Amino acid sequence: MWFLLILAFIVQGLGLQQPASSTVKRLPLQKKKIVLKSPTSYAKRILRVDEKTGEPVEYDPKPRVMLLDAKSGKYALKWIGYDGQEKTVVYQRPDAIDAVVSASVSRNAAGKYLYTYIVHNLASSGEQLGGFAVQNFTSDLKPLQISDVYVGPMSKNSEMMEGNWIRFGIFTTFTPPVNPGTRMEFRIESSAPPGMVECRINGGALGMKGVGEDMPQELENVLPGYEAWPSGYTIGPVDNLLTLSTTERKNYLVKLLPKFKELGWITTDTLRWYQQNVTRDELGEVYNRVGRDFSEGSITSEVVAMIRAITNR
Amino acid sequence: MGATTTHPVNHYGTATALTNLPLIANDYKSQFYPDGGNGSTPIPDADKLRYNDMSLVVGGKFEIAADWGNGSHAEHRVGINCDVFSGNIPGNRWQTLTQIFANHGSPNYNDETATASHWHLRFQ
Repeated sequence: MWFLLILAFIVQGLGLQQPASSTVKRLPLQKKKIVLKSPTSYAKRILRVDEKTGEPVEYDPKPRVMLLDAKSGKYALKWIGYDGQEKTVVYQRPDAIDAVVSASVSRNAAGKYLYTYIVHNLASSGEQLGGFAVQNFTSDLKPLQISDVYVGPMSKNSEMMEGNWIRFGIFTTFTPPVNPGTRMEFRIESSAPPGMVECRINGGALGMKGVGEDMPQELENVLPGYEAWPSGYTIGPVDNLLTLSTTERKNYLVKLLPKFKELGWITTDTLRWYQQNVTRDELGEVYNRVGRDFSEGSITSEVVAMIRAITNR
Repeated sequence: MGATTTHPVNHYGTATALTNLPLIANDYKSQFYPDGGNGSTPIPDADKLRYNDMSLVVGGKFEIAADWGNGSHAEHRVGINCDVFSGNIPGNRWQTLTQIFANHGSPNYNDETATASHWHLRFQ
C-alpha cells in the first residue's frame, strides 16, 4: 500500500500522470445502442377465405432481419410474400456514420447572425452523409439554399420535441457525395444570437425500395425511427437571449460552461478561468479574452460565438 | 381518395399520422406552388398529393378488394401507414418529396413507385 502511494507521488513529481488536454477536441455525435432483431411474435397472414368452409386460409410469412454489412449498416428484411416467394427489402441504418459538427457565427451587413455549420463525416464512417438537422428557438430563420439539397422544417417527434427543427436533406444526386473523410457546409441566417441547441444527422439514403407488397407490420416495427439518428450539441439562434438581463446572461453562461467541457469545446484550465471570471461579473474581460483562447486552441468557435453574443451587449 | 362501397371510411390514423400528413402537403405546396406564384389557384387539384388507404375504422387487415385476398394494403392495420400516389408527381420532385416525408414523421418510407405507383409511409 505504502509502496503504491510513494510510486504515485514519484509519477506525479515526474509529470508522468495523464496530462489535461491543452487543446480542444469536439465530441463526435452520439449514437444509441440499437439492435435490430427478427420479430419473435407475429401474425399469420390471411391468404384468402375458403369458399367451402368460409374459414380464412392463413400462411406463415416468416419475417426476419438479416445483417448484410455491419460497417455500412445495411440489413435485409425478409419474408414470404403472398405469392409464396421470398421477398427482400434492404434497410439502411441512419447511424452508420461517425461525424463531428462544428459551428461558427459572423454578422452580416444588416447585423444578422450568419451561422455556418460544418459536418465532418469521419473516415471511420460506413456511409455518406444523408442529412443534417439543427434545432432553433427563433421565429426568424432563413436557410441558405444549396443545389440538390432540400431544406425544410421538421415536425416534432419523440426525439425532437423542443423548439423548432430545420433539416438539410441531401439528394442522392448531390455531387460530390459527402463520403467518409469529407465534410459539408450548411448555413442559416437569423436575427437571434447563438445559444446552445441540439443537432442530428442521418447517414446514407433514407427510405427503402419496395417489392410490390407491404412487408409484415411486425417487420416494420423492428425499424428504429429518429432515435437512431446520431445526435449532439451545437449553437443556433435563440430569441430569448435577446431579452435576458445581465445577470440572466451571466447565469446562462455559468450553467453552460461545464457542458462546454463535456463537449470538448474548452480545455480544463481555460474552463476554470472562465468560471471564475464570469462568476465575478468580469464580462468585459471575458469578452476580450476569447480571441486569444480561440487562436491558442483552448476554446472552439462555438464558445467564441456564444461568449461574444452574450457578453457584448 | 380510395374509399369504396365496402370500405367507405378508409382514413383512420394515429394522431402522429393525422398531424403530419397535412404538414407534408403544406411543405410540398410551398416548395412547388409558392403563394402568389400560380394566380388564384395556388395548386391545381390534379397536382395535389393523393393520400390513399390509411386504416379502416377498427383497424385490422385492409383487404382492399373486400375478399380477404392479398391486396397491396394488407398491412395498413393500425393507423400508422398511408400511401401517397406517385402518378401525378413529376419525377424531378420525387427526391424533394421523400425528404419532406422524412422531415414529417416518416423516415422509414417504402418506395413502391416502380411496382405500385406510390410511396408507403410509416409514421413513427
